[in-house]
This record gives sequence, structure tokens and C-alpha cells, in this order.
Amino acid sequence: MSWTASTISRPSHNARRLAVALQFVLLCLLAATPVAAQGQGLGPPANKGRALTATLVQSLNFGNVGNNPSAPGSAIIDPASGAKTVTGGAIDMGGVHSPAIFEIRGERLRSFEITLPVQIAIAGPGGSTATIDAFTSSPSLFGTLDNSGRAIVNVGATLRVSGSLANGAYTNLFDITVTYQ
Amino acid sequence: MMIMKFFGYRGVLAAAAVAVIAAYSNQAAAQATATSSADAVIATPITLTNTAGLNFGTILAGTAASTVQMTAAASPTRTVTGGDASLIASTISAATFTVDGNAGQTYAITLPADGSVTITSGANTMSINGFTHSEGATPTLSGTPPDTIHVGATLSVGANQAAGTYTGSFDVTVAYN
Repeated sequence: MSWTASTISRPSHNARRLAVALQFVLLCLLAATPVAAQGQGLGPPANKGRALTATLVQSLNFGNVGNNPSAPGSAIIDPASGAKTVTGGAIDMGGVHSPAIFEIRGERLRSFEITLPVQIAIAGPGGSTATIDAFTSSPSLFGTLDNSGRAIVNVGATLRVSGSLANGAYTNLFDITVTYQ
Repeated sequence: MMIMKFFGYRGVLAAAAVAVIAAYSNQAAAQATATSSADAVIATPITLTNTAGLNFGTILAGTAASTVQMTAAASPTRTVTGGDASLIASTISAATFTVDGNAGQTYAITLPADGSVTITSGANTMSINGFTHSEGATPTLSGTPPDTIHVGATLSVGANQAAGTYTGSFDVTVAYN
């Protein structure tokens, strides 16, 4: 479909000029509309100026961690490999473990900065709390959205265990923030 | 085709303004935050450490097959429960273990089954059966200091059992209930 001056029912010189002007404005508007309406669309060139969004795909989970009453230790989730390692008196007692996984969407090929928590406490039975710190991400510190305007950020951390912790399930929430460069 | 007829000059301006505002607001959303849960199950593992072996001491074999029972205690006693073997004064001990874990939790002790433990001296063998422990049916971990488990058993000594030092090993297992 094309809009031309011939569609005006009673073409006059002024009407034709107005129609040409309107055609230009309308085409500009149509060209600009995808920018304004961007939200779900993908790929070039439509996502210029697209808002940055972050969506949780999978939560951080340390699985089962054995706490030696006489030797403090830690359990570490590697963000890139997802591997779980233990140090000190901590013992890997299995269970399902995973890094946190976030899907980032935004303007294609644009870089963003990743901000992680410094330390959080997770709450367990009877008011007992365990510390999670040393948050790490993959990619580290900065990421870049791919040609589709998408990136995956994995987050790992270190869980500290020591003799005073009650046995049971511990949980809390944490945020990550991504910001355009 | 009909669109042009309804598209007045002011309408175009209004639409353009909306587009500009929309584009501007998108530019402003340069940051996003997402939330994850962080989960762990923390458990104190149960550990078992052997601190003394099971030692029946010195026994003089009889002319009949005999059995010697060792009690499960810190200061155990031996008793000839069958046959005519004789006990010779010597150092003896019940097997001793320390068990550590989450205080207050009950646990189970698994001892060797009858017929599964043999001690040897060269080609000669004796069997150990009837394992017992000192902790009752449903022991509870006391935590600090770790609990001590004593394990006794009954040694089967053959008629005219060949002299020698007989050794072997056996496993004891503990697990949370």
C-alpha cells in the first residue's frame, strides 16, 4: 500500500502540497513508531532505545551443605560452571545446586553493568541465620547484549557455615541490578 | 486509503508528540532489577571415629570348640560361654568409637552381621559373631563432647585352635534416623 496525493478526492495545488507533507510526516511517524512501541520486538533495527529488563530464570541454590561443628567452612557456587565446591569443615552433602540465572533484554549489542549484593543473610530454623557473600557473576562486572538484544547473567556466591548453625532449610531473597553503560 | 481523510494537521502533531514522549520514556529505563531466592539446606553430618580396636586378649584353646564373649563397655569383661577354652590375663579392649553430629538427634548403629567377620593367622581362621554395642536401641547424640560407642562380640575358638596372632577388621556404620 502507498499513500499518494491521488487519493485525495479533490486534488488542488494546496491539497497536493499538504498531502505530500502529510505523507512525509506519516512515514516518519511509521518509522518512529517501532521505537515508541518497542517492548517485545527483537532484532535490528527495531530495538534502538529499548528499555533494559532483567528476568529470573533460575534461583541460587547451594543444595545440602554439611556443617562440621568443630570446623567452619564454606560452600561455593561457581557462576560459569555451576559447580559446587566446599572448603574448611564444610561437606558437600549433595542435593540440587545451581547458580542464579537471569535473562537480560534490551538494546542489541549494548553493554551493561552488573551490580551484585555484597552480603546477605539467609534465615533458617529457630532464628538461625547463615551468611552468603562473595557474589560473583558470569560475565563478570559487565555484559553485552547480543544481536537479538539478549544476554544471560549467571550469579554464584559463597555460603558460610559454622558450628552454631541449626540444621534445616535456609532461604532469603537477593537482587541484582543491570544498568546500561 | 481512507486514513488521509481523518488525519488532520493537529492530529499528526499530537501523534508525533506521543511518539516522542514514548521514545523518551524508553530511554529513561536504562536500569533493571531482578530478584532471586538464595537457598541452602544446612546439616551437621554424623561422623564416626575408631579410637580402639576389639581385642580378645590371650586365650588358650581347649579340646572342644569354644566361644568367648566380650562385653561392650569401657572396661569390658571376657566370659567363656561355651566349650573349655581358658582365658589368660592380658590386655583386652572393646572396640571404641566416637560419634559426632547434630546434638539431640537420634541415630542408628549398624554392626556386622553374623558370619561376616573372620580373623586370620596365616591359613588359620576364627569367626566373630554376636556383635553388640553400648548405646541402646535408639541412641541420641549429645553433641559436645562427642558420644562414645563401645562394641563387643563373641569369638569362636575351634577345638585345638592353632596358636598365633589373629587379626582382621570389621565395619560399624552410623546414620541419622
